[in-house]
Amino acid sequence: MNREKKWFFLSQLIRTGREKIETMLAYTGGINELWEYPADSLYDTGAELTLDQISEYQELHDEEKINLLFEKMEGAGIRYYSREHEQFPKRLLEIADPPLGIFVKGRLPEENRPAVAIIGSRKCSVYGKEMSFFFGRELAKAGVTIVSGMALGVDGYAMRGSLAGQGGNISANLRGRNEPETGNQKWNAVTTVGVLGGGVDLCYPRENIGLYDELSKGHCILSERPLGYYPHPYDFPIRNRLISALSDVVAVIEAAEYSGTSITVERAIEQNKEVFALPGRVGDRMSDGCNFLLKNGAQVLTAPEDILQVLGVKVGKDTKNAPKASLNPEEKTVFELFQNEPLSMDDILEKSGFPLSVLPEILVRLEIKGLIRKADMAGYVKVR
Amino acid sequence: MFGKVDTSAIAGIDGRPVIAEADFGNGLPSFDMVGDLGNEVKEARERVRSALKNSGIIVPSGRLTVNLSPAHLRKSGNSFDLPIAVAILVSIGVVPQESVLDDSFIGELALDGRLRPVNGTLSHVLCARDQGKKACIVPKENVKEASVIRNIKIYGLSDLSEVLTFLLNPESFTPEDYREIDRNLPDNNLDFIDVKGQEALKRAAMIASSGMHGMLMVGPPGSGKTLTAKRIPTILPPMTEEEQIECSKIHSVAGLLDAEEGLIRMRPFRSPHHTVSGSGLIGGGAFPKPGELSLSHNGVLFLDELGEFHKQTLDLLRIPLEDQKVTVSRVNGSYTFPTRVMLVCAMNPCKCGYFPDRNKCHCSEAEVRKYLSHISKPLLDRIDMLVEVPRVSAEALSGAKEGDPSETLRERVIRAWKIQKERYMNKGILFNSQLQGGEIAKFCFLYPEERDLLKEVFEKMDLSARAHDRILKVARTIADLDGKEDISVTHLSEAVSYRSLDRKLWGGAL
Repeated sequence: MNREKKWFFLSQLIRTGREKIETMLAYTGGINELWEYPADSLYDTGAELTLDQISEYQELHDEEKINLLFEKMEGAGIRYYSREHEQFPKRLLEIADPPLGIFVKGRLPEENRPAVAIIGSRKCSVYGKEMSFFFGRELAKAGVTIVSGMALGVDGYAMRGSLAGQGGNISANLRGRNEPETGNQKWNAVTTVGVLGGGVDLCYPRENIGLYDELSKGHCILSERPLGYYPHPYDFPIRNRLISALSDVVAVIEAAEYSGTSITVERAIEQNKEVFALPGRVGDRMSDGCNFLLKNGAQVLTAPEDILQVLGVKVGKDTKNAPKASLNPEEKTVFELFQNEPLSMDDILEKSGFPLSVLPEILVRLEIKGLIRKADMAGYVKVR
Repeated sequence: MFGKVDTSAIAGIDGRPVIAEADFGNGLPSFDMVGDLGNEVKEARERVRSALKNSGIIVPSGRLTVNLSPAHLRKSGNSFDLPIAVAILVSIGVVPQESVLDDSFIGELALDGRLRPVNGTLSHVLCARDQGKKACIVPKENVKEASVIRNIKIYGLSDLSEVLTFLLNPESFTPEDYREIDRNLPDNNLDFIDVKGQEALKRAAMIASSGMHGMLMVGPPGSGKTLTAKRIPTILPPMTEEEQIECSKIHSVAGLLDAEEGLIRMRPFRSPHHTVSGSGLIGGGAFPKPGELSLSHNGVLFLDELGEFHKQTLDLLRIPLEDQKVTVSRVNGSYTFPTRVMLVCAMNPCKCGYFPDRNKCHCSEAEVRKYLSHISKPLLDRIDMLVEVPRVSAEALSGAKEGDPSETLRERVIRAWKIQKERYMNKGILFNSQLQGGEIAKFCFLYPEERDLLKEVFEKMDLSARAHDRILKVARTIADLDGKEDISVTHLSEAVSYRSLDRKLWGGAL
């Protein structure tokens, strides 16, 4: 049995924490030695395994079983990279607690491509949703990989934005980074990485099944958990360290003051990553977390360029200011009313002074032109 | 001796002729009643016996048999006491048979002989008239309700001895005057002027009323959904004579008619609580009674907190809303109730009601979606207009201009109704909302410019095919309100805005 499969075996141990496995590895002296080590004297390794953990170890410590699991995984189109594997993401090795190995559905992200984690609340506001999508799209356009947790709310919208933004001339925007030469063939980059708390063969949360499917085709879903593992609440903070580890910059869009997002930010600071936060209004519950971060030294995020500058990515002209569609005076008056906040029909009515019978026509025209769109239950918002 | 008297029984909302027969003869003293009787009818025996005695009429000792015919028709209700008593009076020879031949009787008796009001008087009187009776004797309390029927004399009497006097000497009584049906709306303290702000919602309510379109309002608590819904009947055109009688019949059978008022003049507004049972909503029971749906016939059925209704209950509405009638089948026959209603629904966007205001709403997106998906799609497909109702801030409320009063809005609705009535003459429909299939393409014709817009809207906004017909129907109504023959881009755009919710909430990807 090769070393990869031995690592694969260790990754299957879901009842034993990574720290205990590290202790065992240190005691025995390496992966081969641990595999050869008699499974009935695990007590001696000093890992303080419980009976439960020992029985799991003994049960899986079987070449046939591991081979079978490995084949099954390969049959599902999922790959496993141990931390020794040459393609194992370098960024993950740079952290203090790298995973034993990762399971990947889709393709691994490019090593030398700048990456940004966009994170935030699962219960974001309309503004948070719009902003997540906007930053995801604009950064992806500029050639940045977007890393996120595929959760509901900010994560999901940022990833959708990223998928929407891919397809621009990516390599042209990169400075001093070696992109693979592909000749005439259009090089399709992995722009979006979803890091899951459970197995990569399970879509969690299942509401994001559309996103999951999209990512499995040509993008990346990764996890350190074995296949078939359903995530528990305690898995997410552990997962969050990978999100920050895989990226160069962490951008917080919207977060309440004490939330999962703050855990990711803590890990990002430990890992020496740059943290950006989108400023919000004082008193807005969903922006308390961001404002707290800003107060404590996070960088202010007001435009994608803020991040691109830190990453050293040149901003292509075409990513800014898409040509404005031609508007007639009425459409212009109405369009200019839109700021960050969604506007209801009554708001627009009051501010524009147009009669209620003609307003829908103007709005429908603006919507067809792609300048505004309908927000959930909250009237119309400006498309960014 | 034998006596018989005409009366009627209620089946569904209509009266069916029933004959009360009494036979008195020699034998052991007894009082038997036959003829497929409900419990309350069986109890009539005790009431009639006491009422006769207390009115000073001595029933000789002997064998008394009462039969209500036809025997296969189940009789229930309290209206048989008086006809049974009169039949007995004939059978014991107090009243000659000839003097009751042209009359029909209904009424409940108190033990002291007084007459008490009954449900369904209108249906009874209509049945008596259709049988060719010349007069109908009803309890005094029911006389207002009964006297709106033409071509039959109505006598409102207060007790059994008065009935006896009447039967022996009918000329000394004058029948109740025929009461002209008042088509004007009764005074009521509801007016659209009370709805401050919410211009978009008020306009939507007017459009929905103009084409009798189903409407669903989605918005946070306190945004004025219920306030608006309650005022919709005030902008609907007054009911015609037939409509008033139809409505009053239904209410009368259900025992909900105000005796003082006599007739329902305002279009009904029914707002059943969300715990309502299936038969409470569409009608039912062992002896079928009209449900809330039929009680709101010709008016508004308002389902507040639509998300809280039982799914099965809501699904029952689907067919009656389409057919405009509901048929309840029971062992002893099936009963049809009319259900031509304007469906108005209101619901919160989520369980707590404040989505998407994240300072207040803590519902996850999955919870929001679950709450909304509670409403079945087939029911949504019968709702033409989805209206988003935003929250109104206190300052906006105090600063809001006063809107149009109900009267102004009603005039516009009346005009739109008239246009539709003329257009659909002899087509078997009355409103744009009733258009189906090929009729839509015919009456909601679009010129190339409008057709292009609709095409573009569909591509851009990802609307369902079902939304297409709804948009056209609503656009037709908006054009009618505008007094225009052709649907213009403006009309179409507005109609589109009343479907914009469903792509986001029901079927949108996010």
